[in-house]
Amino acid sequence: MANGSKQIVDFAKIKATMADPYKHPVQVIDREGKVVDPDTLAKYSDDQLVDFMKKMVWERTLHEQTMNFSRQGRLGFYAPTAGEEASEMGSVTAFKQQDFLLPAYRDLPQMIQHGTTVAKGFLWSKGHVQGNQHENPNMLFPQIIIGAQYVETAGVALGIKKNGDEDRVAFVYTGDGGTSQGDWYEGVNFTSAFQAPAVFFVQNNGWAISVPRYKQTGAETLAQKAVAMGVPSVQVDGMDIVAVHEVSKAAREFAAAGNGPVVIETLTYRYGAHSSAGDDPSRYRTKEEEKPWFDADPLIRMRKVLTDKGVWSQDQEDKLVDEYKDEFKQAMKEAEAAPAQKVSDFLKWTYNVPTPAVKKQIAEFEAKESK
Amino acid sequence: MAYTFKLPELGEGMAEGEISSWLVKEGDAVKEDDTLVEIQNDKSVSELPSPVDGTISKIVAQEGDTVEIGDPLIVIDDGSDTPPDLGKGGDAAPAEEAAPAPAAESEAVAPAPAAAPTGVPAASDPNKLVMAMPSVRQHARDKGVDITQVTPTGNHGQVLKADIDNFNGAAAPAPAAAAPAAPAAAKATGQAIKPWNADRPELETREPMSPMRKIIAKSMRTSKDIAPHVTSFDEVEVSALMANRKKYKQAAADKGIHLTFLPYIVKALVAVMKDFPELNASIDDTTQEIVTKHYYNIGIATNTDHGLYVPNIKNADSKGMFEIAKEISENSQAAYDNKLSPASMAGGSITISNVGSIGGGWFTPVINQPEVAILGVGRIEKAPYVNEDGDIVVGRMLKLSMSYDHRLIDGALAQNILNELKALLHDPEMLLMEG
Repeated sequence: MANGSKQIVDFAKIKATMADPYKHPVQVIDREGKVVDPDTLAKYSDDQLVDFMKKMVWERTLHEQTMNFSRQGRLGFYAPTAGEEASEMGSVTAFKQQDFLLPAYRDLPQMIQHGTTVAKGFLWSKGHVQGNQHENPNMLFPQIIIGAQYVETAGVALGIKKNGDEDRVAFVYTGDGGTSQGDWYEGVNFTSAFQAPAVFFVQNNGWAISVPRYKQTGAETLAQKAVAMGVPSVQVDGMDIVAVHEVSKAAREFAAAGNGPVVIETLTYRYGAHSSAGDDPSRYRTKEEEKPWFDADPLIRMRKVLTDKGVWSQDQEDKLVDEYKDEFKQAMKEAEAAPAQKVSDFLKWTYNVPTPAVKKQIAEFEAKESK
Repeated sequence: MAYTFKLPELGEGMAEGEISSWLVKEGDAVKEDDTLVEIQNDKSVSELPSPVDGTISKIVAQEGDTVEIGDPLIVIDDGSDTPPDLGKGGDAAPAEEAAPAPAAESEAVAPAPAAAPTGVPAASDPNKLVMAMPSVRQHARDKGVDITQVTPTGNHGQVLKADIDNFNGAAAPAPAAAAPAAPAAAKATGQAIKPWNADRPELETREPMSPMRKIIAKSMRTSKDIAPHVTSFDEVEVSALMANRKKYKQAAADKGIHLTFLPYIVKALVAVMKDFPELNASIDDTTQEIVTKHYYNIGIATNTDHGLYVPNIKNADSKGMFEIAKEISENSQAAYDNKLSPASMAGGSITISNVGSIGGGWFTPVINQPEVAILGVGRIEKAPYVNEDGDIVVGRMLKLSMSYDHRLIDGALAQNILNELKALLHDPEMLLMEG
């Protein structure tokens, strides 16, 4: 419009205002530990808030102990979770046992909360089949293919709708990198097309291994991607467990009532490496970038709120940490005591009635295994 | 009595690490999860926590040492009955308590160099696939060692830092798997192809290569090795040629001659070679000279059930169409009867490989050495064709594939050759003028 004539459409303005609805991520407790939404906080009893804190301490301790196990050579693949406690514990606690969880590999803590054991989590990391056999059958094992669980979620949500299950939704997690996958769009779109009950979480922790969020897409927020598919979405402070929980609960209610899916982007941060497989964050990001996120730690702000209320103390927390550690060490012993896997077992599970070739292989391996 | 802590795999693809520093010393009491040691690997520095409570009874790997996954790092007295295990990995038999650690280690780590070096330096092969961490490659460069000649001792054939240090400049004995009787052909590059299922012979049948198959294999391989092949594809409309053949087919038959399209192509090639002598040449590698031939012997690749032969039509430039047709039939019969003389196959100018009688379109024929080109001829097929008047008509399209030795023939030249060949095949009356 340099020549002053008015054009029929102002793309520059459209582009500049696209993310306006997402300018203010939902927040209840700010990074200083100040309550910015007292009305929402008032809905939670002290016991509930203490329970939130306990779960975050549990997840942080689980992370630390798991890293130790990993460096002692006692685990296989493990995706660190430090920094994402509010995002993970705040969301998973908003769901019911009958809801179906589709986790990615960073979501072992939610799986354990939803109904499996710590030992099973360790067994999964060790590549043991028992790590996929959960007490609560309403979950899959962690998806390793980035974003693929979104497509599976569309299927699960459709199934829930088709079966007419009451008060039941599918919920799923991916990271910021996952939103760049075709699977992500297909999963959300398909679910929306059928108005099936699902809650899609995007844990935006800033990094897809070494690719920063800003290189991931031209969109200002990841939440706004849902608009294109006719799906309501929200950004929430992912370091604020009360805000995450409140938003997740609302999303679940909305979806369970037959209104179609919801997308939730939690703004969080991966404190350490992408995985235990050895990437070194100092190679791709600076301490200056990390510092404000470490200061925004979800445990720090919740600790302040609870200490101000007089329902939390450092002693109490230290004691909890020790208890949890013992629990995890016990779980590791349990995992290490699991029977060694046999090739013959895997072959037996391949077909209900083994083919002649498989039968022969079973016999061969059983002969080897009995030696 | 003791827990032996061995270096775990701290990252994908990690084979070894260096002890940066010990945070404990012998006699120290440690608790589970206390940091014991810092390990530097390719990607980062990792602190390794103790898996048990106990007292440090022996530090096995010293600061600055490079240790492999599974190497013992430290022995911690945790009050258990387990004896210290100073072998490598989980499988090694526990070493005698009295045995000094370094001896046990060297026994476990270095079996390969024990065989006496042959003293014959192997030729360096830059294409050899070497697996090694970047730091090991750097180490090799720093030491001036050609990493492709180093015998790997790490997991999955990885070259380790120690292998570089142990390298004495002589070629190491070939790995056992590649050793047995490499066939002559494989010797050229020193790489024999391994059988896939050596451990499952019932899945496959093995039989010796016939002498003929060996010769074919060798000559194909030689040709591909010495001549950089390029293949140009083209097609030509040949309804006029078909009409001509139809017209004279009976006349030929009356003389006992089976007139095919091949004599036309032979004639056309002769005409083209007269205009483009590069096509009728060879390269003498021993003198780096181009040999241009003043004879026109056109080879016809002939497939029989006992092998592939290329008899040639001698002095095709001085023979008529019927004579060429007759000779093609005679050569073909002789090939089937296994009666071809070596002379009938020697001294060719160029070869025609005709798969059109079976079917097929374009392909990439391999040059019959020491010639510099081969013409692949496919089937004549009906296809839409825009004629000279700009009308779409049903054309008879013949597909041509010419492979040529790019050392001598450039792409533009090849296309000019094909263009003239096409003009002659499109209009057989031109053949009369040129041929």
